[in-house]
Amino acid sequence: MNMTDQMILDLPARKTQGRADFLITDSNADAVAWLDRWPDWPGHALCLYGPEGSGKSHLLHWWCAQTNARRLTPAQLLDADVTELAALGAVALDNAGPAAGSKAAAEPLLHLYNLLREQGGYLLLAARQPPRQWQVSLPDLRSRLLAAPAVGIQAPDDRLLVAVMAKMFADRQVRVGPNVLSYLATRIERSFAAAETAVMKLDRTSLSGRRPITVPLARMAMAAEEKND
Amino acid sequence: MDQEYAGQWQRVCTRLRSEFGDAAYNSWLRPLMFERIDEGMAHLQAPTRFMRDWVLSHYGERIRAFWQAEDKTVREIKIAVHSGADRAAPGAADRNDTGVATDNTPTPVRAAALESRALRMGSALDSRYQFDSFVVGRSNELAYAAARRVADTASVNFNPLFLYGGVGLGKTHLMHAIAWHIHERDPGREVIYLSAERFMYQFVRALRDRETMAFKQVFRSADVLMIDDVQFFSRKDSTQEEFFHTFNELVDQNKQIVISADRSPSDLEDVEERIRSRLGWGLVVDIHQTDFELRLGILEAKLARANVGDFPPKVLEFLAHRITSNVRELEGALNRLIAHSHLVGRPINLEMTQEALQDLLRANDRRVTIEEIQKKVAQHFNIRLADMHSARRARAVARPRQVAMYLAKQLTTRSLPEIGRKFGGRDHTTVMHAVKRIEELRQTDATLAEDIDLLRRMLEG
Repeated sequence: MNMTDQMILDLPARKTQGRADFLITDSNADAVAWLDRWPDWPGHALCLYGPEGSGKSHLLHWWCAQTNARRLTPAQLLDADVTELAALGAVALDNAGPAAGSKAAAEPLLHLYNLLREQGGYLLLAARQPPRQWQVSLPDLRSRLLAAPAVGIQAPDDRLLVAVMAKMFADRQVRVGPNVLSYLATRIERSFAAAETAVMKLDRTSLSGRRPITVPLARMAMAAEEKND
Repeated sequence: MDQEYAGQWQRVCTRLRSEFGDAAYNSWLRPLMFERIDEGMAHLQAPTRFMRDWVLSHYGERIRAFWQAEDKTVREIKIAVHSGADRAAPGAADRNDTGVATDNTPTPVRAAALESRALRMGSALDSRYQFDSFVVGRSNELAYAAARRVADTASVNFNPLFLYGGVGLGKTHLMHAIAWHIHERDPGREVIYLSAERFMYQFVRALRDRETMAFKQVFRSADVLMIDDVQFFSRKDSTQEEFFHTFNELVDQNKQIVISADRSPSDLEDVEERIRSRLGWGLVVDIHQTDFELRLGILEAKLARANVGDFPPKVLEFLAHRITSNVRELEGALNRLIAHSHLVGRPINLEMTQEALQDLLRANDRRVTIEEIQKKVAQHFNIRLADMHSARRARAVARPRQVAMYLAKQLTTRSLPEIGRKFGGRDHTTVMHAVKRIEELRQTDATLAEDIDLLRRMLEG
């Protein structure tokens, strides 16, 4: 950062996470449909996978609100009493891939899976990769996970990419025109992470230079990024 | 009077159904059971606590309002969780319209002959797991015969029956089937089925609550004790000790014991030597991996039960051929496929199967690269790879190049400028034009559309 740049505080943007804030396109329609279909699932568990930033957390949040489910991180799973968790009836686990693959968490997860099944509860697992690619060494758990339906969120299509960036700007209380969004969408990698980086970059450039976000500014920010690559 | 109340409940149900729709009604409201009306309080029962809470928070107010419209004296609704001794799975038979939904919830029925304490101790039995739903093949016929023998005869022929095999091959199915069968044939006999983890948990709780005497009494009064997955008895010495005593006492009384594990008794490293050898005294039966015929048979049997209409035999063969790991995963794949077809409203065919089960069928998450796309497309159209980067604009090379750009846009996440760079330093607008052009041509040129589908399948593997 050079001296003329304005200091920017890295405040996390406040995200809106309701169902109505979620744009449905071809990339995520299947995932949304599976969650909407709950509790009419073919089994009691469902795996949701998709790249970073693809909206898994958003969907998880929404599903938990719908079902009064407890949302857990792998660390919380280790600390929890599995029978008490199962008694809640619905549980969502974030980062389920690493959890299922870890020595310590695999057994509690297996027991949670079994207990929820026995008691007519539900389990939603979210991860970046489909279960087939999780490194699960406990065979009982592995076969259960592979038998559960898995639904993926695909890399975003252009429409979603534009919408995602629009939402990211809105979460930052920034207003941008559609021309800026389509400018960005045709130039960045087709991923949620790239969209996030581009938005952050542009927001910072705009704040530090006290300039509105326009196509020329976007061009400048992208050029700076390419140089850095 | 009760008749009258039951009639009121029927009418409340009808109104709930028309207000919330069939799906919500079938999922949440149909499983409720009317119990009684008592001092202005309508008592209902739900199969699980979760279901009770859900119904109360989402439908409670409407149920109350509808009921009050029927009968002014009803002021409150109370839902209890019923013990589940005399009721089948929630709406099981009624939910065939979604094909697989009947597979959803295991029946909360435990062998009803068990006294209440045993009821709490045992695990729930799944009503789908019966002998007539078990498909027999070469790999499991011995285990099946042994399980039938245990279920059919009151005298003990071998003790214990030790079933072992890889995960998802039907051990639990056979144990549940034994319990169901005995319960039907001879309800007076006490059957306790539970998982090893549940046994451990119950024992630890009994220790904590100083109820070990009661614990011992329950298990030692069983006529048939079945413990599933004993490989989870890991190094917890006091539990193993307790298990061993129970085991010996039941054997002494000539009561039947059935044990399952994922490995043979001698391979249970975490189990004490004396217990291991004791487990191997009776009949030890191995369930082997399935073969193609058995897998196909299992799928066919499952389809017949699920009441799914037309199902292409080719797809069944494909599943039986590709998903070889175990029965659980095989059935899981079939469930997924049927649910997916309902969800997207498309008939099941081979292509849709590959798409829906993509994550399961593909061994690794190999990402397609632009270089691969260029190579495959060049081969397919019989042009030189160098032409992907060249400035030549002859149609014979320009079109395949556009196809490759189009595929690069679809199958990779690369940005348009980067795709342009990989095609001989072209501008991103050139890539955009190519994508648009191919999208248009796909609509009108069937041959090209086929070429693209083929390339896509080859690249995605």
